[in-house]
Amino acid sequence: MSDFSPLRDIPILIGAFFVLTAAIGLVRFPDLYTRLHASSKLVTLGSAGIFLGAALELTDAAAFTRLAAVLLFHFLTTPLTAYLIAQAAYLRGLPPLLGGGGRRGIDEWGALGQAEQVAQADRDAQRAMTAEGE
Amino acid sequence: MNGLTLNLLLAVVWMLLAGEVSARELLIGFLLGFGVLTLFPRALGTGGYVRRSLATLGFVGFFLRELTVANVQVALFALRPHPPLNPMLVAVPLRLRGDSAQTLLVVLVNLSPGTVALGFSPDRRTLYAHAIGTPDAQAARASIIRIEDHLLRCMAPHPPRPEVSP
Amino acid sequence: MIINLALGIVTLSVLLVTVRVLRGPSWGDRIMAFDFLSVNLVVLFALIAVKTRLIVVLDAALVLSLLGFLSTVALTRYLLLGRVMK
Repeated sequence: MSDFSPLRDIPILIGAFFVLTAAIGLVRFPDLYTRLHASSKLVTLGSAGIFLGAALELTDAAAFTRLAAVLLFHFLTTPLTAYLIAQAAYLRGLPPLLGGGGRRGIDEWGALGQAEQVAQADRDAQRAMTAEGE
Repeated sequence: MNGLTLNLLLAVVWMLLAGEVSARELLIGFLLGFGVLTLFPRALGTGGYVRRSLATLGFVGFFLRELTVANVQVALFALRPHPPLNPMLVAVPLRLRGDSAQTLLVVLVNLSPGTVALGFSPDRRTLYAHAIGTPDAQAARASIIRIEDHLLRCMAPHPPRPEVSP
Repeated sequence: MIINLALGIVTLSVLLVTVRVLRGPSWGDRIMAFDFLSVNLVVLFALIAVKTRLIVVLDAALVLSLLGFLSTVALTRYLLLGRVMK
């Protein structure tokens, strides 16, 4: 630990810790939807920490701009992929484990496995909206 | 005139008056210009711009706190032997309109504690979300509505009154 | 050195998630795990760039993060609609 510099090492260590907990969560959580919580939140902050530490270490304008671009891009895309995967899995009929209230749990959407119906309703609503606009 | 354009213009004027073209002088000019716009909102017509900028700053602080809370919560769930997950699917009525605003809302909902967005209703007025670690559906809904309140304050020219109390 | 420690931790998490890719059980799990792997590779590239002081590696990280997001979007669209483009 002769070359410990807190400005670089603390973000990298925090980031690595969160990436590892995300992997543990991905293996341990009971179903896809709970695993997506780990994959969206923990991976975003974990990778952001490591990119921040790397940008502070490589004091170079070229490295800084690239790492800033990767960091911003990850902040926007990692949660969006979680949303897309959850939506596709739900509409294709992967039942979530539900707790809380009642025997069947709380499901306020109730469109499990109805991808075709939801897509059709979406198209109808879009057509109605454009018709209204004209 | 647009508030941001006026602010940038003031920054450039400050930089030229200071006689030095650099990012530092530009930043100082920007902050001073923002102070001028804050002091004379009536004369310059920039009250909305100032209010929205301050709301955005407050929102960034709020969001960073939420992000930390979310990560610590999920990390504890991942490491604990029997996490009290209590998963549920909730429906939240939305006041936010527009595709890009709602995409931003999805990103923020996924990064805030205990919620992951699942989908929208066909008329885009209801958001369905998967929630863990909340005691009941009302608490899960309240956390999403809080984020939406902050977003509305950053975007709308005048902050609308919340319809549903959190 | 801290960079080596972080490289070890991220590699360990890559190995852990490989278990999730192999076990499944649904397609959604596999897509999610592959997305996680691509993000982890970007993180590994960033750490390698710090270790070797080669900034060229960061370009590879940038391209890989774009490709990872696009492939995940294409896979979820295929899963949901049965096609990728219109």
